[in-house]
Amino acid sequence: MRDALHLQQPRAIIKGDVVHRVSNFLAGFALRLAPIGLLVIIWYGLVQWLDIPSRLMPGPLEVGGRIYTGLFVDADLWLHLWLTFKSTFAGFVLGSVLAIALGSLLAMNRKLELLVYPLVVLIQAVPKVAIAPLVLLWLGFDARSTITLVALICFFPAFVGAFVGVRSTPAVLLDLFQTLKASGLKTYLHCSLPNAAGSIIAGLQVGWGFALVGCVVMEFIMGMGGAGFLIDNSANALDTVTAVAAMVLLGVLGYIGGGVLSGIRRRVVFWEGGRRHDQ
Amino acid sequence: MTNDQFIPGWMRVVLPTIGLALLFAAWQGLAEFVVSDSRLLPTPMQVGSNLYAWISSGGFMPHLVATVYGSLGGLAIGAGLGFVSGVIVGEVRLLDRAVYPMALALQAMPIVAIAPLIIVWFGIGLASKMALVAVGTFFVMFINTVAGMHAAPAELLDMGRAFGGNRWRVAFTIKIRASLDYVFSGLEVCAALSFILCVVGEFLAAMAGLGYYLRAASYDIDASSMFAAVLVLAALASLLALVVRLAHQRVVFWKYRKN
Repeated sequence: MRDALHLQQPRAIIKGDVVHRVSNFLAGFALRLAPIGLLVIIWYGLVQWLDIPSRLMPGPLEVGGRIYTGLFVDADLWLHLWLTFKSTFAGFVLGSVLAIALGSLLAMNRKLELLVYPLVVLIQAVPKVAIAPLVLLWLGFDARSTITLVALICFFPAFVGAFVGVRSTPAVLLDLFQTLKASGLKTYLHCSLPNAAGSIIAGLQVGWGFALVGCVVMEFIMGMGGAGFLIDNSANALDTVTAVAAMVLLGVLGYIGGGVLSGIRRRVVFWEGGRRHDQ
Repeated sequence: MTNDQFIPGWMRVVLPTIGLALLFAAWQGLAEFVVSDSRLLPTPMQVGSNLYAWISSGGFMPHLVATVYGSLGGLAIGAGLGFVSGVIVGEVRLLDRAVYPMALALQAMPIVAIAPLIIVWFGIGLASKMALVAVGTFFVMFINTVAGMHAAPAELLDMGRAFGGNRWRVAFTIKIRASLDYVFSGLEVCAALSFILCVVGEFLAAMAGLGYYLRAASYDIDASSMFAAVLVLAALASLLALVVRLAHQRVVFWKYRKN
């Protein structure tokens, strides 16, 4: 009797846990999608009710149809979407890696911080989007221009995240590492970096949104393909269905990127903020 | 490698000055010896004289006025509406449950992407710039205001109710005041965003404005004028950010009170 109970119990707990986790996951998924569904319904209602002509603002059905044909039938949207994703991702990685490296370096060395301070202020003060034509002039009509602008624009949030995170490493921990004669690199990798991980990822989440903005703006003024180019080009031809379809796809790109980053955040910094309401 | 390095006071002044000097020296050197083409990379002096000539020739004001009108006008409309609707949504629970997640979901979309459509709707004049800025700043302000209304301390709300305050009295005297910290942080983001959105709108289609001037100068391969325009934009954005920050400290005085 007793033995049976002992054998049964853990199994029941595991089973209950799995069911719980699956239902939790599904509920979370539904909770994520519900606002988007509501948004589409309101959009549909507004377009129908106000009788807005399709060349000014198409309804969700038209746009959905355009996305479907664009992705699965004609596959003409894939090309632009892929171009945008490629440049955004490359620029995002480049800018973020540089930002984390520089932010960590400056947070650990006050003299260097004071020396580089004017440059950081300058980078922050200039509206990055405004130098898009300059970057284009220097680097040419090429993916390099887009990647550079994206890297510049998503530099700052990651930099601040790394700097603040590393700077806020508890002195007790640093003292401990010093007592144990850990090298500077070891102290950074095992103490400061894990301490900063939460705020770095928060910076990356902001940066991903910025990165898409930078990419779209560069595509606007470069006019060589990409979702931004597609939006501008189709809006100018009053093909608003395509323009809105490209906008929706950009939104999906932003949403997926944000989702992946918050997943990484939960996985990597599992000790921080058990229940967060903000994404 | 430790965080408690001792930095003497004079270093706090001298080191940034050296950094600034190095920055200018690098720029000057790059412009003079490496690129040596003032149409691609002007020296600091060339940018300065270009800016001076631009301002004294009288061609400067129309562009400045157009950008300032577009940004600040749009900011006033967008941030104002965002604040008011944020207060309403933050107070009415049903709306809060339905609308707030929608706004959060919409935020994932890069808002500049809507710029070409707004130009189709509002034309190439000032109205489209204001509309673009208004749309972009609305969401930031709305989300920040609702978050601020949520963040009102529970003990203050309890006290307000215990002293017999009705719902709107509590909302106005406690919730809105508690939300002001978030509202001003949002306003700071909006201030930077307003110039960015206005400039992007001007890149696409405009008749005047700093963004329009920048793009026109880029067609002429005239980097000096582009640098001058970027400099003016940076100054404008920094000035507005400074004003907002000062207002933040003045209004939300209890958070910045010196102990």
